[in-house]
Amino acid sequence: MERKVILPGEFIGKNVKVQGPFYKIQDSYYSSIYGLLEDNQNYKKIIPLAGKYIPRPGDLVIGYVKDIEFSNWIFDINSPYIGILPVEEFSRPVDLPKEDLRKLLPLGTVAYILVKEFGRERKAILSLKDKRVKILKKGRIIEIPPVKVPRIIGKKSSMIKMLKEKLKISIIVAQNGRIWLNGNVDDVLYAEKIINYIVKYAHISGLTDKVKEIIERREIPE
Amino acid sequence: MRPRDEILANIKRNFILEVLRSNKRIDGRGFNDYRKIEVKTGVIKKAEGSALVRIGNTEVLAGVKLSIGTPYPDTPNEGALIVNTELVPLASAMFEPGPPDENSIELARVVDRALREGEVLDLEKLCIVEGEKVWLVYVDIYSLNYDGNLFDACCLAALAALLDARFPKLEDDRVIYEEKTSVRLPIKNYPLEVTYAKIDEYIVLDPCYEEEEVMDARITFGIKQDGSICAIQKGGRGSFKREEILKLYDNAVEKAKYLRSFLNI
Amino acid sequence: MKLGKPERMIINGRRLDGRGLYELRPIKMKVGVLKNADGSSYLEWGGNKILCAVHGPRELHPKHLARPDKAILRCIYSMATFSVKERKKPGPDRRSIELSKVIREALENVVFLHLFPQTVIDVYIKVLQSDGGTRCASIVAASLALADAGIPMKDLVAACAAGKVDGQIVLDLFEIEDNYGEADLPVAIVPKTGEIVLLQMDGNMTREEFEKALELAISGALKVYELQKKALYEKYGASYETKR
Repeated sequence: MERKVILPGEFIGKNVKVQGPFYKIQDSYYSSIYGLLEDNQNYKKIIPLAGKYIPRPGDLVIGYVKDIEFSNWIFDINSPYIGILPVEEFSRPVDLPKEDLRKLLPLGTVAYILVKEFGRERKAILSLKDKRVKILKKGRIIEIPPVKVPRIIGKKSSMIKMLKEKLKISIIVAQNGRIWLNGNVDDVLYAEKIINYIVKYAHISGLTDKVKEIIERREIPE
Repeated sequence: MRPRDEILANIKRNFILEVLRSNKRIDGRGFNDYRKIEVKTGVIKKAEGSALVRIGNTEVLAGVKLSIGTPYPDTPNEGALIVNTELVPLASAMFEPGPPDENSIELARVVDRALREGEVLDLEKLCIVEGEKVWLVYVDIYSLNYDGNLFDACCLAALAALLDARFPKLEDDRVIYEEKTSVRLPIKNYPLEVTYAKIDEYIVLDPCYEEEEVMDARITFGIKQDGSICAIQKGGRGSFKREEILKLYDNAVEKAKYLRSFLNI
Repeated sequence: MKLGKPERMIINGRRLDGRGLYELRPIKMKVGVLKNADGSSYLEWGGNKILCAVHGPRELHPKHLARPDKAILRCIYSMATFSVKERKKPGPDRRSIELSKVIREALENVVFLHLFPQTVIDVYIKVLQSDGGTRCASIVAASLALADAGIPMKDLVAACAAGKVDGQIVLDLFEIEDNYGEADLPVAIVPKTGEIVLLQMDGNMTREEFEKALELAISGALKVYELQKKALYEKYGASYETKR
């Protein structure tokens, strides 16, 4: 599968199937971003190299409480758009106004949380009513460009599985580019270096095997 | 700059403390280590002197401009040094354009203080005609990338740029900026700043951004080449103990000497 | 005659910096130079040195400035105090406010702002050293930084100036020609469509001279466009030569 760098305004083809950020004039397709073009048999795919996280329903993100209103928590979700956790979406029924939201989830609380809706209001409605969500009480949060998240996960989760196995720590990779690492301090700091390396060389093929070798030798990557 | 009361993810500080407890820092340094330092001079030809300084990922650019002005009435035989520091939005998403906020004013004043009180220039030698004409020396410092400890980076860049500077040609009353002479500025002292951050009970040299984000207090020493102090600034709502400050002072003298080794003097 | 004006600025078809009439100055571009920005670029164009950072799209404060249907683009052009011969006072002046506006308007033409309602995209341009033609250089740097930030656009914006010096039409004026020449004509274009998105003129030209200068400026911008593309390919190690 061939990949090449593509620029905003670059012609992709006529009457082709295109995935990703493109624009169209009559039958002609053009890339609207600076990215990579993947030439698949039946379609062409534009893979962004940069860009902010825009919420999508069904995503799991890592956010932290940055404000508390009467019946909502406001989350920073590393996006141009804020996250709102309405009290109805808390993990259990809350008896308002008797209960104090500030005690349930204080300012600064970090959560791995579900994006339930993202509508015209441009606010992500979050929910803790999901089995996969988690309040994160310790560990380290690092941020990578959200477009690199698929690379950290890898094809059929190959990269993330390998990382978890070899690095001996817990890892949660959220769609908004935040990654939670938890375990022995040295292992966490080492994992951070490995992840930065993957981000830096995300556009290179055969990366999973290369990273695996680096970790097996406990090498510090440049 | 980021408001001081900005909410942070609560586990951030805990992790940094956990690392400090194991006698390390998040970027792998020892408590008393600077990050990698680079000093490059002569980068802006339009300036009479310039220097680009990197401390880790923190990057600042200082430029020196000279002009002719009238002396202050109380110092008729002295030129003047005017130091200005700007936190440019290039350096961080937290820096906003517009009038400087309290953080950038503090930075500018503390850097200025070390250079002024440290008498970096022999101001009398900047006098052209007593009471009438003197050289005004402007040092402007821009932050290009912010990853903590702008104090030390700005002060080092300012001194490096002053050392790099040459007088332009003076013809009658006109400054010919296109023609630089080989005459250096009258440098008298080599003051530099050394900054520490305190996080809980731990004190670290040259804090990076993540450490500054969670620190309780900060202290900056302006140190001259003879080991005397010319400026101090404590910042943050935390505190230092008397013994801590005296110990840090001794350490800062050594560290200032180390910083000075990056200058060609 | 203005003080300091050279007697002649074109001698035997050569300009004071040694260039021919239709020659560009040396240009160097690099993208992704600032760690804390979402996108960034560094540009050297003759003696101009320009750094540009893009932050965004991001939340806009105060909220009432936000548009429900699109992102707003904010653009700030500013000069370092030591970027010019005589120290420039810090802070915005009328010139930098005007330049910020025309640069922003040129960029607004290509950025797909409707994709990010209620947000802001900030473009900061710092001229570290100036040598004439900073507005064209700034647009070039800004569109590189926007691309680097992953902002969707219909094309890059390319720019170049032409002008009149010693009665002759020349490409890409440097500082002395800018100061003492008869006319300066900065032009920015959308190369894909040929649309002109910035056009200013300062000086005096005839109809014929203007047409020739406009043509020349556009041809210069197209050369600059090739260099912009090259800088973007090179960030990921892709060879530009094989791309063409």
